[in-house]
Amino acid sequence: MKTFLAIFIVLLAFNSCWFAHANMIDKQVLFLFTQKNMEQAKYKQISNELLKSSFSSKLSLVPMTGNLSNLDPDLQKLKWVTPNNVSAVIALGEVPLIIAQLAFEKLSIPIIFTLVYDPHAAHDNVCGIRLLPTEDTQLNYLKLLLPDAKRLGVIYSDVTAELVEKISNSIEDLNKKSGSKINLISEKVSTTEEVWPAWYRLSQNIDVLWMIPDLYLYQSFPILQKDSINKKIPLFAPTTSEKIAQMGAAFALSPDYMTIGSQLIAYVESLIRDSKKRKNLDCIATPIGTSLIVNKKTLNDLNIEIPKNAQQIISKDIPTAPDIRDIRYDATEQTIKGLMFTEAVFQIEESFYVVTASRKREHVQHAPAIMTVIYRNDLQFQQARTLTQILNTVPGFNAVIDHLGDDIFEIRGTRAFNKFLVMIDSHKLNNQIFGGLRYVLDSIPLSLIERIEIIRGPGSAMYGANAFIGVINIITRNPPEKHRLEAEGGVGSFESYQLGLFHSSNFDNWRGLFSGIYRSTEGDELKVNSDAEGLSGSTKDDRNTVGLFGKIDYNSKNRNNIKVSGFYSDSQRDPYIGQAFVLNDRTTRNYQSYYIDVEGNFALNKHNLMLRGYIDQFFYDADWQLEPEGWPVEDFIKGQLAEDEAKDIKTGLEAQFNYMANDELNFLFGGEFYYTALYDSESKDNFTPSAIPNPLFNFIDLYKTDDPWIEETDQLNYSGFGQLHYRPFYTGPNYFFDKFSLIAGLRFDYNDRYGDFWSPRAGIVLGPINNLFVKLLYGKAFRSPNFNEIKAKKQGDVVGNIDLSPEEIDTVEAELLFDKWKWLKPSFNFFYNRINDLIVPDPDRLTPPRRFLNLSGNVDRYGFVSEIRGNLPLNLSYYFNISYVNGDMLDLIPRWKSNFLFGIPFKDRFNLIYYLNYIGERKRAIDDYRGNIDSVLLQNLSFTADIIKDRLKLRIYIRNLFNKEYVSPDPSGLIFNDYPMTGRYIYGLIQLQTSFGSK
Amino acid sequence: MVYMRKTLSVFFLIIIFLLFVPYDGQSDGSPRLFIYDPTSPWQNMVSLRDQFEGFLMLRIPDVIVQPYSDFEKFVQDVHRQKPDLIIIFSFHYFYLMKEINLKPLSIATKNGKPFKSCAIVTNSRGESIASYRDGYIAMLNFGKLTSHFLSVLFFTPNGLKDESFSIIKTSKDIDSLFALSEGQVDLALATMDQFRHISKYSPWVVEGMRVISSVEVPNIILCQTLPNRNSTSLNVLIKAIKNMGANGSEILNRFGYDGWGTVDNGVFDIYTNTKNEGIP
Repeated sequence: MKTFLAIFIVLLAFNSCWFAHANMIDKQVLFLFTQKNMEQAKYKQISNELLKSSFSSKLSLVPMTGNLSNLDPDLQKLKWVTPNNVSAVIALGEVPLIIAQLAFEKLSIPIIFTLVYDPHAAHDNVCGIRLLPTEDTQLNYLKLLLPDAKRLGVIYSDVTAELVEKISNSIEDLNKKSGSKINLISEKVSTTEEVWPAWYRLSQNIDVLWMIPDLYLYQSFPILQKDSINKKIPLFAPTTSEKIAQMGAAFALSPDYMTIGSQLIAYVESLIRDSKKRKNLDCIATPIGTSLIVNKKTLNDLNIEIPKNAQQIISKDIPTAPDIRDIRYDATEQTIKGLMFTEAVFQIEESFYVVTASRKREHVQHAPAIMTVIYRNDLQFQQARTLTQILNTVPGFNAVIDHLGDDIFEIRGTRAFNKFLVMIDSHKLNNQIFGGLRYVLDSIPLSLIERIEIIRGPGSAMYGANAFIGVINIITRNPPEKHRLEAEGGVGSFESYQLGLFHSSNFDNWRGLFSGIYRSTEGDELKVNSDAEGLSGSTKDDRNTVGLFGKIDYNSKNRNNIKVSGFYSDSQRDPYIGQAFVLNDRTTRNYQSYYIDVEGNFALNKHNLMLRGYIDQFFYDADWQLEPEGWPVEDFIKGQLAEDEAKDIKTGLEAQFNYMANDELNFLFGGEFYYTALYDSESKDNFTPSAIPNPLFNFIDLYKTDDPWIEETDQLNYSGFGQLHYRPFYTGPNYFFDKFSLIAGLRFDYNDRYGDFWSPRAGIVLGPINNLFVKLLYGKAFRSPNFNEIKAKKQGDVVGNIDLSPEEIDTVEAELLFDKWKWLKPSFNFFYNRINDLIVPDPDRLTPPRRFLNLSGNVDRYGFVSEIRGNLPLNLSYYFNISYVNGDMLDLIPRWKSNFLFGIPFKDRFNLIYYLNYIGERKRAIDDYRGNIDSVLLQNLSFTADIIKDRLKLRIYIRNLFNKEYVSPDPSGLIFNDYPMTGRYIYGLIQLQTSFGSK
Repeated sequence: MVYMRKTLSVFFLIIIFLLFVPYDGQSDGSPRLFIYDPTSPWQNMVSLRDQFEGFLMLRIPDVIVQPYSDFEKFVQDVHRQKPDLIIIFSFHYFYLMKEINLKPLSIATKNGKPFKSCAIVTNSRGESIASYRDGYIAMLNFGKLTSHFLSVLFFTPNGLKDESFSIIKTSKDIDSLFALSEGQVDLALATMDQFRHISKYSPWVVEGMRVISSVEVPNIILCQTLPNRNSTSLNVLIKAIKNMGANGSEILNRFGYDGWGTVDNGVFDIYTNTKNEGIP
């Protein structure tokens, strides 16, 4: 052992000596950077180069927190440094430079900076590389790209006047050298509002606008960009990143960060070789290399063709440009100075887009619906394990369970599991037997979710039946990596297990994704004081579920796309309270469903055609024990038993054509045809009187009944829909019209049982003041009775309107959304619902056979939701919402509900999340003797640790932290203390993930 | 419970195994062509890949073309993914062949010539490279071989050492020449083709610049990695590249060439005045 150690030390010493000799550097070079910035490509490129330098072995990396308001922690990190042992300091960015100056400037240690906005920072020992290439280089590039451009326009303010002078000098030099006659035409502004008139004047006389990095100019970029295309004037933007070209500018000229890294190395080496020598580094050097990014779409719109000789200097071309009206441009002086004038100013992420509200891609703030979008990051933040838990945090949603233990939701005062539509990638999941999803929600693997788009309000004008009080559309992921594999396994209280797997692969035109989940829990032992028979005992919320999702996507080079996807779900439910509200129920129910969906999207110039074909199947199988052994008479040795089963199938075709009349006016037409059938339905029991004459009848074995569980039946549905969406482009300074959009739509649905139904919608979006969005919406929706309700009607188990009409809802709603600050994003919305022909389980008879009440009068409900969310300093984040509902028929519905989440990250890899869930008091019906249900406050905690960054994660959840006793309401009145809910619940989850291969 | 635990353990063992098994690029049977040519005047790698791949897909539908601008990444991927063919600048080929079994198939030509001229230019008075000792020189980024290129072809023949200059790496010759014209560097190394190109379209940039040293270096080499794994499609691929028609000539022009020729034995003589021990 000692020998090995000795050899190791000798080798180490030899190695060190060799390096020191080879590099001729005895002292260390400090490399100061802000940890957070290192996520940006340009910082990575520079540091990659530094790590390849001849002095890399002497490079000491010092990550900084970069907190300008408290520099002490970062300064402390440099305390250990012996100044005599430092040959140079490299500072990457504004804050590291300040820290380097505070720590080393007086000690005569050379400091070399880059990625710093203010070049005046340089003096004696401080030198660096400024942000942008020289004006001469910029001009040379411009001349190569647009050789015929003679009139260059520039808009500037006091802050950028110096730059304009430099450009002017460069033009003068170039004119002298090349004999060209380029003119600089400038307009000075002192506010953002002055930019538009300045541009208007300039645009009459210029061939190109040189976008100097001026705050006012960049704030006006969206309107300049649009108008520049109308006026065929390209925008040339020397900047720090390609973002401005992504936003639609014709040209972006940014530094080549690899070269900046190389420049830094050369300067450090030069200083180390001869510390007195500062050749070319007396003050500020400029970036030598450049990256030229062009936007091909903009060039097309401008009818500009880049000369052949200049095409080779293009580093990258961008084929598309976003809708300029969706670009947010909330820069401040500080962001400009902080080098972020392209990165931070233009917030336009893919995640701002939604597809559910209008069946087309649009910005969430302009979507004509009251929407909540839960992004993948939010899923991590919420720390939810199932879709039901996620939806429970949505304002206006409250998850409860029924006597069978199935999850149902109370949305805007309406309790149901079948009055909202659930979709995966716009494929409808609701089955036909129950109309809802009964227990399927939790078999959807969270790993496949990119985002969940939730509409609180009617959606029939777009999606037809079942989009009654809400639409939930799960958008699946498309990870960018070549291959990605994720696996998770979890164990928790009550014998709970979970296994999950996710895999995706990307090839050039093909993409594949698979996601699967298995969940099992025996459930908490829940005490029931008194069941329908007056007995006390306990029950368990026992569940098993499997969900498998697969998707194959083909994208052709001409933007056409074909997608085949499929989902399989199998859920098993063991006894909870039971169909007859009697403990000792041994009922088990099994729900299986699958679908296969083929969707094609075809780009036809600016327009788009979507075609979809699908087949859905749902299997229902229940083994009932309606009464326990020995009930109601001793002959029932095994209890009163029944078996029901049925299958339904749905096949359909959908087509949708999106016609872009122009950038402002969009028409959407479509139609849907689907056929549903219920088959293989049968029922067996050991108690039906008609079977009693059978000599073999013994109250023990099951005998097939004369009538099936539900009579086999089918339905034909077809529909047509149209929508007009007008969003004018307004280039003036009035915010009101800047955000204006108008939508009107109508859908016609025909069902061969219920006839036709018309669902209109109308909406308007306005911006009365800057950053404020106001939505005013109206919509009508309907829900056709499902096969189970139709069965009840045939059996005479419908009261009220015995013909059982589809239920209808008219909704008027308004939303105010203020989006200015990152730390506080408030929104407020109000709704008024009028429901006609409401279908609910008849509260007077909730025991089997079930009876439904079809109210022929109106039920009016109204309420509001208020929400705030934001990110605070130290990466703290929070989310708070409160919802209120009032109106008719609100027995057992909480008027108030609130959620509060607070996330505390620490050390970049740990996260503590506190989640508070308040459910207000529930009032019972006047004739219910049990009294109101008290409000409850549930506290939950979760902890996440990135054990190995981006590879291994540990999550621990504690739900119902203080083991609070609470209930889901029992409308039947048969269970005295309602349905008890799960107590404290601890769950641990390990997640492994890896990706490999670059795309 | 015991059953569940066992299932969980087995599951995790499988997953951990899967997670740590290194990705084997060969599982994808598509023929692959990797390209690394830092001297190519064409910068737009995505457009180059699309055009080259589009051309070759007419013959081999599942071909994969991957151009690189980073030499280290290129070498890493060649080792890991073992492409069938590579197109590589001769200097890098000369060093890479020590590490990887490569069979040269063709050399690119322009006007029938398999060589191109690389020159060191300046715009100040010094007559030789030595007179700029301790100065800055801008040149294309050749990855780990950047300073080696200068050393082999310019410094060693002139009795200079690597450490005599600070090298600033650029992605294109025009950047090196702009830097020289603006006085940010003392010398610039560029291909003569690009020097002439800039002289034609932006003469004021190269005004006053002169060549103080130049060498003729072999062009890019098309070579096959051994052992080959895709013999049938490989032959089609080689044939398609060697016989580029009208569409193909445009692609070759982007690299600055107009045809392919035979690799003669003496073509690398210029590099052999130094000891080749592989990539440093």
